Amino acid sequence: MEIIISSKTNQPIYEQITSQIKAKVMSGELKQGDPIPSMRSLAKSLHISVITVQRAYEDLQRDGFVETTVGRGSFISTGGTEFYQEERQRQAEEHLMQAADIAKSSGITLAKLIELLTMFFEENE
Amino acid sequence: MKGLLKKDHILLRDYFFLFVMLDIAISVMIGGTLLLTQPEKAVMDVSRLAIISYVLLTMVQSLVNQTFNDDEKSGFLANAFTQPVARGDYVKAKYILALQLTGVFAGIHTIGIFIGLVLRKEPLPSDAMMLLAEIFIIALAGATIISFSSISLFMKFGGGKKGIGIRLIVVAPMIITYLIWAMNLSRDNIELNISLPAIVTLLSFGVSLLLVPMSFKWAERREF
Amino acid sequence: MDALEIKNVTKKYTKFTLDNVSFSVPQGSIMGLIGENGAGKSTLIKAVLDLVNKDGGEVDIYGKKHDRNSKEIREDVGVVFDTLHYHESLNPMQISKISALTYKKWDEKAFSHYLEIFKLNEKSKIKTLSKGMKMKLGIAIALSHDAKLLILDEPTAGLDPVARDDLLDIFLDFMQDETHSILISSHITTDLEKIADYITFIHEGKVLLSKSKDELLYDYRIVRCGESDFIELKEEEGAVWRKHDYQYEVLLPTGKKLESKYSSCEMERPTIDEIMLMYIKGERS
Repeated sequence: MEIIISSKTNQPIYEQITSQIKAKVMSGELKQGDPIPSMRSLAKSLHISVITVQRAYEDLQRDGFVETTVGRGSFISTGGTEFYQEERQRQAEEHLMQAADIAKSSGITLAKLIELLTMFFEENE
Repeated sequence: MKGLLKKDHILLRDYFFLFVMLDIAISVMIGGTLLLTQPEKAVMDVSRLAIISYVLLTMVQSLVNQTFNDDEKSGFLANAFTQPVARGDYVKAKYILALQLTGVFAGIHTIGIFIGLVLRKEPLPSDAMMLLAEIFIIALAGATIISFSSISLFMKFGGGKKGIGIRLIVVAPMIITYLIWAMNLSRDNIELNISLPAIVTLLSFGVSLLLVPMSFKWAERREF
Repeated sequence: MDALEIKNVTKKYTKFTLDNVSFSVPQGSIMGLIGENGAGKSTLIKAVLDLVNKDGGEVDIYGKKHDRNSKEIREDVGVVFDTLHYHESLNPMQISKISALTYKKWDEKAFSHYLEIFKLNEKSKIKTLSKGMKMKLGIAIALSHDAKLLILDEPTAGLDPVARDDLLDIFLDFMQDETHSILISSHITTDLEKIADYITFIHEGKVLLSKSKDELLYDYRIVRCGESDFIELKEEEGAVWRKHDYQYEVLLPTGKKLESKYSSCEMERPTIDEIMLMYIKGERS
């Protein structure tokens, strides 16, 4: 598992950790029951403060992506994936709605929008 | 406390060997007649022997002051109190060090005199052992008076001009009366005669013990 | 129970007073202590270590009051000052012998291990060591008696970036035990930005703020703007500002929330240094 963080972006490090782990769970790279490092050892490996990792783990636990048992450590849970999926779909809907509004008010056709969307989808494969 | 003593032992190691050599040399010479008043009579002059032992022990005691000075200068004193060392532990360690040093040197000195006596190849006085024991005790007692006073005064007033001055004023009379008392002890009346010097010497002893709490108080209030 | 609780600590000197300082270091966390020279950081650390006679307040270490009667507590406390306070003629091996008699839980093996990774010869006298090596020796000593709380006063000053990085890793390693805690006073705020969990800012003898580092680095914003924006910005909660020749500079503790409100302004995340400068040189309402 790789986690890449940067202290220079505006996104708090704990958010970088949570979004990367969530993304890996959504893509299937991390599966139900997979172990993840303890908070302290992850902090050490990433050279960051423990409380930052703690916040990330708490958020992941709250959103159903991680389960921590005392004595056994932390493991991936897929319990939050459905809700996460819904959340992300809602975000995508919002962006699409914005795109539709812009298109309608500036004469861009639906066909053009579909063409662009298809291009974006296929571009990243 | 044990750690503090260990540190002082390590730091004094070189001085220690030097002083031991010196002490053995001087004490053997004393025992071997060179410094006796009436060598042909082979009468041992307790007072003079005790005085010389005593002077040596005073020098030894200055080593204790030196370790304290070094502790201050190196910042070790501040460091020590961030460790599980109580303020009083530090002071106790200095007194123990003084007793250790004076005890060891009084012992070496006495043995040295004995060796010197033996080397004279003359028959030993019948009460030689008791004599040596007396020398040992007198010298040790005198040195203890001075070192206890000196440690507490040094801690409170330091090693600067003021400190040296105060120590001179307090300790010099102690030394002088002690020497007078010791010199008046002759071979025949080794018991504590109730004379003025004897009384003052006893008072000195009392004073030195009274000064001891001053060093503990100093340590307690010391800031860094 | 916190690792360290500083309660209303006050210390008066003729020209300076440490005034009613209170904050806590929770177990398992690293507290960075920042402030100008002369702000009171060293005095505070001395007060925590009972090296000065407090005029008021109390210091608790793992729940126990730390005063002249509590030398046992210091078995669990490791201290590193910016200079190594041992006699110059001593060498590490001798220090180990002395420490073994001073600390109940002195770990000779751990000490040797640190000497090895720091590349320190156990027979080299302290006077032959460079500043950096002396610092590392001090840290080796502090880490070799099973301490739970480390108190560090400028431990990385004078070290090159590689050595600093190594030390930070060692501190993070120390933190693997969740009962361990560190109070670290440092001018090298980039180190604190990396590993500190909380930051306490001491200014003119008082606690100016004591917050989580993430809040300072990610919720605060610093804005450079013109007069028209400045007039509005200075009314925001906790705003601190400086007027420069050609612009205004404003620090906003609630800046993250205000980004959409002031969308035309360039809002940046501040560094700890910038936060310090703003509070020290700036104005507040």
